Amino acid sequence: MPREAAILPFGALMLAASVSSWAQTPPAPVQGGTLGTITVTEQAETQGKDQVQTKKTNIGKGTQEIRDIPQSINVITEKLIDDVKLDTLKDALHYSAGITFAATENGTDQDIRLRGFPVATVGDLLIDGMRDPSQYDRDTFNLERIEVLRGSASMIFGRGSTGGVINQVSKKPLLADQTDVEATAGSRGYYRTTADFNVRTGETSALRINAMWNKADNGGAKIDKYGIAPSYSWGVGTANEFTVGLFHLNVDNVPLSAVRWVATGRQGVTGYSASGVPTIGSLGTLAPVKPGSFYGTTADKVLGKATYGSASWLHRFDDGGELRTQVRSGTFDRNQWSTAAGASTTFGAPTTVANFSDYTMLTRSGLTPRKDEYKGTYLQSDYSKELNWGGMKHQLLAGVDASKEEASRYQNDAFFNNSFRGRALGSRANTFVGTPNDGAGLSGTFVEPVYRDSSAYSAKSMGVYLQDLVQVAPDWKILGGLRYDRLSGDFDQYNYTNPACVRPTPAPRGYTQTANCTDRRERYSAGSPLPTVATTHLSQGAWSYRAGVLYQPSTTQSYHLSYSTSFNSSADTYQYVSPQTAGTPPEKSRNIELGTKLDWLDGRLSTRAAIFRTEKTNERTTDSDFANSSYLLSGKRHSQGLELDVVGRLSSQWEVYFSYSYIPTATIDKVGSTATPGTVGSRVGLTPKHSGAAWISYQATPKFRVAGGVRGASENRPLQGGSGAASLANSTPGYVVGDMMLEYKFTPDLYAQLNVNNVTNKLYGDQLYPGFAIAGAKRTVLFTVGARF
Amino acid sequence: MLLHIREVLSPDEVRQAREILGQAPWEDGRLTAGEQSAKAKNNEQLREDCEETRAVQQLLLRGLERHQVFFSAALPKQISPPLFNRYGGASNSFGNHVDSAVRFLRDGSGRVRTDISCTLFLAEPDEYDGGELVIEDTFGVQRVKLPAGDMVLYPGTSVHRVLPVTRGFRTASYFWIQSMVRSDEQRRLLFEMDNHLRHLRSQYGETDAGVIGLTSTYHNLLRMWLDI
Repeated sequence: MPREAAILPFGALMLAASVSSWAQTPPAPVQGGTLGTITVTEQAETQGKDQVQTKKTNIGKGTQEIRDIPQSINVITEKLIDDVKLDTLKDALHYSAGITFAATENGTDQDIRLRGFPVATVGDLLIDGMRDPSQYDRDTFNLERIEVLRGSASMIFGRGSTGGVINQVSKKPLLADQTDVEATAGSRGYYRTTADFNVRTGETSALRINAMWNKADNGGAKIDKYGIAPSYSWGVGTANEFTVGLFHLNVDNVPLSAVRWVATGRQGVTGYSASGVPTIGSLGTLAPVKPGSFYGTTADKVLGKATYGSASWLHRFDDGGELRTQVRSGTFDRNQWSTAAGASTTFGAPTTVANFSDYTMLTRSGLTPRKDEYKGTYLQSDYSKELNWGGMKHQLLAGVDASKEEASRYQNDAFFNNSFRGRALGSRANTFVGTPNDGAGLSGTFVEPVYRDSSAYSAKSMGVYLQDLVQVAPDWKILGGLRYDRLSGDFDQYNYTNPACVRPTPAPRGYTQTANCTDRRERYSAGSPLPTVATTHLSQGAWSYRAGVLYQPSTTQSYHLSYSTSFNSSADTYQYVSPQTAGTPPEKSRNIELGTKLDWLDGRLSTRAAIFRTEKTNERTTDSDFANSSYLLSGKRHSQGLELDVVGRLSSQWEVYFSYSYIPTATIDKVGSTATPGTVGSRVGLTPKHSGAAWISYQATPKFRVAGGVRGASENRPLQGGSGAASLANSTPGYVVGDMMLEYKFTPDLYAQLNVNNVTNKLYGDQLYPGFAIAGAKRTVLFTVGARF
Repeated sequence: MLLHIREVLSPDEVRQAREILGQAPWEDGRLTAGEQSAKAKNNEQLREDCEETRAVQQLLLRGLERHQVFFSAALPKQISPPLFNRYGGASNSFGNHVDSAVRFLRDGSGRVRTDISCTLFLAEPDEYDGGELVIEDTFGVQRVKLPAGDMVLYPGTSVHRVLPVTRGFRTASYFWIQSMVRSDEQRRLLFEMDNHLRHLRSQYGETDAGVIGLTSTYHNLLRMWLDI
């Protein structure tokens, strides 16, 4: 073939420059100018959008092989996010076992629990390895993958992480030109568009812009949000690699509605009297409404804004060491006011599941209005290096990090929003079960809350750590790590002497004058009374440890036994800081785990299994949900169980993702004297015994792919009081929800995708609170057209 | 992998080389043989440090340098200086032997692990009878007798011998290569992939997505296996 003769093999192109070292005889210069440079662009490592399996992670700060991390780890890649249409972080986490969601009094959907321990409210949500503790509704449009590391890891991340951490890995610029655009339309007025542009701007530089716009009527609930995240990298692959990025997300949603528990009609033990005698009462369950029923009002809202900038610098030393320095700074605003609806009587009789019908009247009440603003700046520097010491191979990881976090939180201004001033908060009219989404607004004279300061803080923390993974023998590695954290901050509580006498004196006919109205005069003039501010200073330090043994007899097997600790300072949620709590030492937790990570089918399929025991000692038996009743007690609890993951390809046609968690034991072992009797020995709330998800995809023909999945959990109970124990009175039954997808590729780059989520239109309790539950979304049909070029 | 590499030297260069070697001071090959192979070795060879050797080495290295297939197949990291031998007359054979694992370069400038053995033929096959290079390896027993200027590459691990020359003289150059890819099997896969890629590039051009993807795979395999 004549053309072939002119084409040089790559081996030749690559090597011709290096001949002078062959022999002592100096060679003649290379003849003929036939040698060119290799112009082909290297493909980046397999992207998250290409497969559900991943073998490397950044969750240990540096980039590591998952097999070298002696803890359970579960990764949700962009492929799974795209396949199942997991638009929000919460949606995505439904595909990771062992995770549950608490609805809080304010209905926020970001109170995530892992192995029964809080995640979000203690700052265990991360973005690129740095804390993301603010409360906002997170979207997945800029995520390459979500990494769930289970078990204590304060040695890496600082305070928190009793149950584990959840790391959101942002999309980064790639040295390639690629564009992905997608448009989705679906049931209930659902429209979503995402665009992912990546442009290579130079030999080592690239720009990436991700954007999202999403709108849906959602049967009364509403989605209305957009986001944009540009980032630019230069020096990629060179000694100094830089990335700068911006992120902005704006959410103006109406949340799914909360419905109060409904009596099952059965009686049972709902609690214990002060003397420990069981109290028998009515058992409650999820209200049997039609899935997707909305009983809120047009005034319900959850507004959120997240804006941050980030920068990172990776320096590669000549000796193979790497120093990665990252900074992120941003502001986060949230404002929420929504409804809980419930029925106590139906036609005069107590409401039960049996008489619950379309004609059951629901009374609606507004949840506590909530507004807050957070600011956070995070800086960290991590150094990793492989080296030989004393004849053994070491993988060293060391770093420092620091953060500054500030917040202002607001509450309803009870002075200003007062009925006697003619400015009462609007109230919510009753409705019927059979008329969801009735379009009702607020009634009353002054409908929206006016806010005043409630609490504020400004806190700084820093940590320093060192970890070494030593290859002590051909198949054996030993891991040891140590970290010290220091946290200090000032916490302000605003106290108002609420107007007890805003009624004119003498009292008009029909009103009773209160005792505070002396001198026959109103005590307050217009405007809010000024608060008194109580400031508490907190300063704490703590050590964390991690140790593990890894046995890796081959490249496809890794077995580990590990021990790690974590701590929660009194201020981990910044909720508990008072003079009383500031002097309280941190909670301590530890995690013991025995596990294995095995690769099959030439590495295409990975299985990971572990049995674990997580213990929290010295526990505050309060919970972030119950800040008002917080007491610091010396408590203890533990959970133990098994986790199993299978990810990868069984063949070129079959791709599987499976995540399962079995937690037979999750027990409150010890509580303080003020806890509810019967708490000791009872199960921890929001910790179902079984939970998990599976997604299986089958490439039926080169163009046609079909996929389906299930996710679910066994019986789940909300928390009860401040103890962390499960509510005895209320529970949601176990559930399994099915999702499915059909994909047709017109060309390799142009595709259509049909998703049906919650195929059977299953009603299931998704977010649980002592007073109510928020059911999961109803059946949703989504049709997507996407192009990649 | 046993590989026949054509026209490392042009006919003109072969002639030049032969002219120089014809006047060179040949000596008994057993002087440089190891203890074991001395018993099998019965040939003549040239000293490493003589003028003639250096001259032909230059010629030969230049030929190797421009030979793209050689590069692709051997992925050389180090080449030991080519040596020369002659079979004929009373010194006419070399029995079964394995090459030493390491060649120490004469001037102490380094060592070469003998991943690949090379024989470059300098006499035409019809000039002599017998003298085939017989290589026993996983690919079976191979008899090699190539035109002048052509070269054979074979794994350094294989047992080989040179059959007795019964007529004329067989002159050849022999040397070793330490490859950047130590494994013969991996090297063979890379070479085959490179060849197929060359074909695809000629058919579909350099910018075809498939070509780019496979090229990337080729380089990633290199990265995985390369020892530089």
